[in-house]
Amino acid sequence: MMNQKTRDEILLYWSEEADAAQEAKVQALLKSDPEARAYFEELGVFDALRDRLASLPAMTPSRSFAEGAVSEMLAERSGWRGIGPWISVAAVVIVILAAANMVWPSNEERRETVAREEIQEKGVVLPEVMERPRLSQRLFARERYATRFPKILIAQERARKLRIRLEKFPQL
Amino acid sequence: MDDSFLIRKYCNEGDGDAAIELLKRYERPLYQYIWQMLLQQQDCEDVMQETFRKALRALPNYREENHFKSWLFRIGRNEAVDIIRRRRRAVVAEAPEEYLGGVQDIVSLPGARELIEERESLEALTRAIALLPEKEKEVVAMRTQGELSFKEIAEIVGAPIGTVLARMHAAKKRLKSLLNTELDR
Repeated sequence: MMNQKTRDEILLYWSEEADAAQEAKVQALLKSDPEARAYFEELGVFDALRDRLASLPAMTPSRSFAEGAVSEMLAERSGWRGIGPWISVAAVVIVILAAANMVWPSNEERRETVAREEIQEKGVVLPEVMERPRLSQRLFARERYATRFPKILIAQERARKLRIRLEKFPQL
Repeated sequence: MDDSFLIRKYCNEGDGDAAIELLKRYERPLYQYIWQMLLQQQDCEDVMQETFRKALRALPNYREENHFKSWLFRIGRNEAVDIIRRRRRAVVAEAPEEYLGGVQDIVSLPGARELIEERESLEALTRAIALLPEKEKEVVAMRTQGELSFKEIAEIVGAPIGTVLARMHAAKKRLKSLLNTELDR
């Protein structure tokens, strides 16, 4: 009576996966043991199954799946490639706009600056709360104001002098 | 050109022809394996399409130490198993109708008797395959139609080689009793 190990070795031999030692052992067994020989012949059922199924028309693919899949994948890739440059351009534009917003003062900031100058010139003492810059300005605008400070000072001074001169002239 | 060369050509250079050549090498055995699992042409084609699609997407991450054929069969097996799990009714082998057409078409042909006997034999064959348990069926299909070694099959299904061989033994015994004299013709 064959054991499981022997059956496995016969199966590996039939599948041409047996190593040299197993091959020699099975070949000797097939010569001497009728039970092993019968078992080996029964494995022919798989060969017959393979041959019969392989000859069926339905077992032949109706079209090339490889070509279809590759075409689809390449089309997908070129689609992304087409959009890619536009995404890069959009990203650059966004960065430029953000940088411009940080460098140049907004209209609101300019109006606040002029309004503060006028108040100071008129000698109005503002309460501390009003003189103190807004929290947003303190947190985010300090550097911007620092870099622009000399230019603002110059502009302010010019504007102040111009207002003084204009006040001297009578209203027309 | 070996598989690794074709994979590099596709991944690095976007060479579609290399990818087609690579997949075509295994298209027929993979198709036959999946067909034997599903026994239904439409499902088989859907699985083939999805398997190749997933394989191409995952190819940049493919590790060359794995055998490409085993890797591809693993993807196909997973897709086929998903289909089987979604099915709610037993699979009826449809193959004989497709192979030989309706009976009316056959009767008038010369050699009609032999054709009808052939058809009945094929019905018996596909019915026997359908009656195999899934685990045995996939081992038989991978070995006979997919032409994979038992070692590769063990890697794909995630079982020890001894288990795979045991399933093959069991399938042999079952097929023999189901088919009896059919395969001796």
